[in-house]
Amino acid sequence: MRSITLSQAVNEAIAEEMRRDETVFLIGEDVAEAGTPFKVTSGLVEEFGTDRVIDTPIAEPGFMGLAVGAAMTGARPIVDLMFGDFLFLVMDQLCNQAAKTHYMSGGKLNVPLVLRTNLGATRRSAAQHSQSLHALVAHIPGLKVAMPSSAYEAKGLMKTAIRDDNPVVIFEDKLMYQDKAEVPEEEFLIPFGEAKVLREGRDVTLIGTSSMRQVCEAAATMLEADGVSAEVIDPRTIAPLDEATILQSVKKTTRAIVVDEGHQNFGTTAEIAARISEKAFYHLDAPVIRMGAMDVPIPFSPALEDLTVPTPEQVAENARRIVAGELIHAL
Amino acid sequence: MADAKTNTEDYLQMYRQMVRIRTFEDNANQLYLDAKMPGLTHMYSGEEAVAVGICEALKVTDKITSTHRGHGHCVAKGAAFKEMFCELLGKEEGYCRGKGGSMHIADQSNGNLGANAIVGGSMGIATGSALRAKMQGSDDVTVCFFGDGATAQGLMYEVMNMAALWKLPVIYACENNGYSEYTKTDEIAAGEITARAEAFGIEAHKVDGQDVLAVNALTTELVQRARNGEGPFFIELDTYRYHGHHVGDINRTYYRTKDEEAEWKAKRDPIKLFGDWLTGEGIASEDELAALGEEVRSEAAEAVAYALEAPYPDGSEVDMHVFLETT
Amino acid sequence: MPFEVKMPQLGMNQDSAVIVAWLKAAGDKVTRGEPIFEVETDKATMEVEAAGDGYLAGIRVEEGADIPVGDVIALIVETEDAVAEHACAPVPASVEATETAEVAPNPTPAPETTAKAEETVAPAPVEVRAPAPPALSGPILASPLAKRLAKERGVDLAALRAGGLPEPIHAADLSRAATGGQSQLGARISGDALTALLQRSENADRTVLFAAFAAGAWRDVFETDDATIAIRGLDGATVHYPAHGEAEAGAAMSLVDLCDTRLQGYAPASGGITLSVGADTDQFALTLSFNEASLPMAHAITLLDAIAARVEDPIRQLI
Repeated sequence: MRSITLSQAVNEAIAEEMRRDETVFLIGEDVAEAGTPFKVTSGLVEEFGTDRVIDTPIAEPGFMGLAVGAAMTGARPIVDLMFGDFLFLVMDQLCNQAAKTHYMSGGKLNVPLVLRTNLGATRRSAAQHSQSLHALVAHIPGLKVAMPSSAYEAKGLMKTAIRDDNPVVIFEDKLMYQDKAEVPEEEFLIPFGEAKVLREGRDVTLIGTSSMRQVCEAAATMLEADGVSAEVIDPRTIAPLDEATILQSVKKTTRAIVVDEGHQNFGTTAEIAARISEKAFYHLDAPVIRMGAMDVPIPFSPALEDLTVPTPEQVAENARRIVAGELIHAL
Repeated sequence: MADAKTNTEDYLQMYRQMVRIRTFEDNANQLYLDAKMPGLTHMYSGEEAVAVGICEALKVTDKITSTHRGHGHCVAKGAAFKEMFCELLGKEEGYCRGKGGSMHIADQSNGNLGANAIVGGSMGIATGSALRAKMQGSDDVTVCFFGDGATAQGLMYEVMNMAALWKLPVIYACENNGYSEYTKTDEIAAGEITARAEAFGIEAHKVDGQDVLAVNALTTELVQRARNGEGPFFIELDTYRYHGHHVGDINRTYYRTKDEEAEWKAKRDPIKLFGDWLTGEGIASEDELAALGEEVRSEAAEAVAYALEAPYPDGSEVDMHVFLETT
Repeated sequence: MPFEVKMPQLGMNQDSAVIVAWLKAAGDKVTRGEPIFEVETDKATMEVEAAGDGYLAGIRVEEGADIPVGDVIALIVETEDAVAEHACAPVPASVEATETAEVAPNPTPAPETTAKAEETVAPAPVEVRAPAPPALSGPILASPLAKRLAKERGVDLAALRAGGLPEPIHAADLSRAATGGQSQLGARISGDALTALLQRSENADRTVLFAAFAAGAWRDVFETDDATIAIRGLDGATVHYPAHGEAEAGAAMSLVDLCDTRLQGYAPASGGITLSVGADTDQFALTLSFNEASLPMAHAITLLDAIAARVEDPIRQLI
């Protein structure tokens, strides 16, 4: 099978859906000729023209609001938000308008839009261009949240998002745009709410979102050398969350570590860990460990920034400790 | 639809719609004071000529976005009393099955994309609706209703910029009732309201919002031009709200005098002004107008009685409509 | 028809309001928009205006009373004559309303004193706490899985801790518990039926059969689906039965098959529950080694007896 980059995969998904459905359009800052800073949308304007690949002023709440209105009246906009950090700018339009319209109207109106943006630190971009804010939107009922962990997921999830009749936020890891993976030429979609078991194991379940999937896979390889058998699961969407697959795995292994790049406090790791503790409590032989980004603004200096994101070594070390039955306990 | 209203039937339709709004609000106010209506509600009384003058210039498929003070826009765009009162009381048969309430009534079948409880929150939606119409090649126009208070919101400037750049068929209708919640507008808005739109090269007008004929004539012209790709436009409508910011805001002399309220009610009431004009022109007699008022009052009384007796939604609906289930 | 004056709802989440003062008396002429009474809500004091023209009548509540919103508190009647018709005795200010009584022009002194007395004189009950329990009877640090398994098997975790098992206690510790020395139970069972079965079937593996008997007995005795047997080979390797069962951590017991040797029994010093099987001409020697803190003797007897029954009559087990 051919391998393509995550960036190409997203581009293909958007192009295919724009060909398939003329109500789909792309709107955002520098999405046309510039193709975004990460060059993800390059070439789309040549095929679809500036009527459907729309460059906007630097006005995130403005174009987010336009997309909500266009979606309410029959279009399927894909909003490009250049950095995930700019979510704070569009929160009213996304969370007060898009997320609630279907419910508040008693089902009369709906908002089929995709907000594609990114997450991830370690690009030396400092505190306002490095955040992973998916937990903020996953908290809001009415929004779906997808977190592709490879080019394959990026394409399949994007196509599903565009066809979804509800607002969907997709977070791509900006460090992964050039990472290649096998992606079939023929059309495929990845349903929301279906986690993927990437590796089966006996002793501990490692749950990793987005690029933390690779961190978990690397940790599992390290653990194998020590005779610890780790199962690795990628939830793929956190809203909806495939609870069944996660619980089934943890009931088997009796131990779990949740790894995610959002801040650990009140984050995605906390939510998943809580569900495990609540629904698989009597199967647990160790506390569920959360591993998120450190609870500090992401620092600029490489020497500091690298300390903020979970590494395979740290994941493996935590796995060894709970498999060995060490006391993880605040007395 | 293209011409300003000039025949008897159209005049009486405008008068009836204004009376329907006033009557709706009188009933809503009483329901609220009698503790029969939950939540928070904002009365449109006094501003009827704005909603009616504008909405009578629109087709059913033209869109509007509304505000927290939205009952008037909803009625003017064609909504029925029964479903509106049911919604105000949180009943199953309400426009939004009781999930929206006073501040979120949406009536998609009449092009009402919904009221909005965030001040200025619908400006993006209205502009996006106009973008959609343009992309689709339809000649639908969207009117964005908002108050003077919303001109302080940054979103307005972002979307007016894009609307002007892309010549979108949207009309920004600023209902300037002189007060931004509990504060005089003069104290929160620097410069001229219309100058804000003009800065983007948007043609802006000021009109007496108590004169339904003037509002309708201006809007009819602008809607026609917007359909021809000459939009966007901006209208500032000088108007007044008779009640407080919300029902319950009864001691408000600290921000406006009772004399001022009395003067507007006596001299600039839009229904009285238009009624006088209709009788003066010999279009309708006072008796005919009184009969029309009675008819509307009994329509409202019937709808209120119905809504009070109507069932609440079943508890099983609470998690329905969070998402549209794709099949 | 008289117009009802109701206690107005003036804000969100407001259930009631206090009448601070009547600005008009019964019989006074009032016009629409004229303030007729003053109310205090949780936020502010406000004047309420008449909603119609007429004469105030039938005042039903006194100043200071806390009235639910929507309740009728007076009437506005059309004529002065009608005032008398609607006269009624007002509801006095209630005890609950005394907080605001001081701003009312005519506070009723009695309820105020009562309420204050209740507020200040009644002593708050003092909770007497039990003395802190000794440390060894405090919460046991054990994993939820270990606690569940201990409960299923009738194991006393406190006894394990008292015997020196370090916390936290995990599932594996239940089988490995090495405190207080090992107990042993022995049995000698006729080997005829099993030997005949093994001779008839070339594929049958004796050790696996013993493991199956042990697992089956365990499942029956403890009414559980979790019963993995760790088979400890004489070469030092360990395999699990069933093969796709849980990790060693979850193994219920170990099995040592000594039938190919001259030996008869084995009791490991490391603790845990171990079943060893030795062969003696026409008999099998079964030895169950266990710790009574993790496997009470009564359970051990039932368990070994159930295993012995299976060895004696293997067909029953296989069916």
